[in-house]
Amino acid sequence: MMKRFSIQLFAIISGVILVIASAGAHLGIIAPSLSAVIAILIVPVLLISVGLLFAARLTDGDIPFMGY
Amino acid sequence: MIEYILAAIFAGLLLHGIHRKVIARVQGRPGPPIWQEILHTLKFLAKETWIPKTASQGVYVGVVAISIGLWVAAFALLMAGESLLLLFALYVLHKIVEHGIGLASGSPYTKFGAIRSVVSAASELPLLSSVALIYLITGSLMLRDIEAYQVINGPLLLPALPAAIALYMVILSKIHYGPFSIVEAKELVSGYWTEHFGVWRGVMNAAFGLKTFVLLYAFVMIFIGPVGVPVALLLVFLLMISLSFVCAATPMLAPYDSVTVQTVTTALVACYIIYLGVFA
Repeated sequence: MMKRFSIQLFAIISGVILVIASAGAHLGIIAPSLSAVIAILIVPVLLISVGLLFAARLTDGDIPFMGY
Repeated sequence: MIEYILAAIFAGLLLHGIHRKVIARVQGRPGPPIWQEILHTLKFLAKETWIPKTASQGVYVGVVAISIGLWVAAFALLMAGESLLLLFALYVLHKIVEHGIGLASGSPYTKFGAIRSVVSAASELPLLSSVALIYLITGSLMLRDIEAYQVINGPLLLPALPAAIALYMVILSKIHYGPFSIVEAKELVSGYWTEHFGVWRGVMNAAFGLKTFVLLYAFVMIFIGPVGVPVALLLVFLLMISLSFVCAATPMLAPYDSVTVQTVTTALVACYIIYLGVFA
């Protein structure tokens, strides 16, 4: 079981990291290669957590991980 | 980076929608609207999500994360103009994703899809000959070097036509509803990803949209050269339309026929490479 709060936390943190990495690469603070590595690692976390967040409203905040 | 990734996923899903629309029109059906695949992805993201009891929980979820991570990495390589060999190594790693998705859930349908994925490893053979020929002509496998070569010598499409045909076949083997799409044939319900639903399916849809965009864009970069983003996108669109026509007009091959066609293509390109190496 995962609670909605922890998923929200994952979604927000991963989203913020991605935006910072992207902005950093544009401004020349972070090397583009580092920005790419961060994106490779964090994009799956962002997409899955955002998706689970959408789905969480169907199960009143709980994500039942083992089903039928 | 994230803004480009999201734009590429959006473009890839739109290409999938166009693909379905063109196939339907060629077959005399109205077909779904072109944004259907985007709606599908959003719909799956909002569906109830869980993991089947028969599944290996870690692999079942992990492989979804790997699928999107893999194609984000391929997209980053494309943007940086890095090695073609790395790009195609990631393409071959996609096979692991197909196996993992198929074997993780414990369903017989998805297992058959995974087994067919092993059989269809022959689709990587034209890739090998394609890469070899590109190296023989340009002397480099770095995408930026290949583009620089084309600035001086013109597009590689004609001098490396057999390699272009081979890569076209590789892309065709990864496109939905194609003659080589034996891993997701209808007799296996949806093939290797039948048991991935809800968020898992939504994320995989996004990953496969990115995959389509990366493969088509790589084709344009390798065989047409640096033409600017708008023209490249137009060429990607035209390439997608041509693939859709092939998919619409060609029935799905039996698994072993699919392997035979791909192996014969590799052999023909290999003959051309030997000819270039010996006589040219």
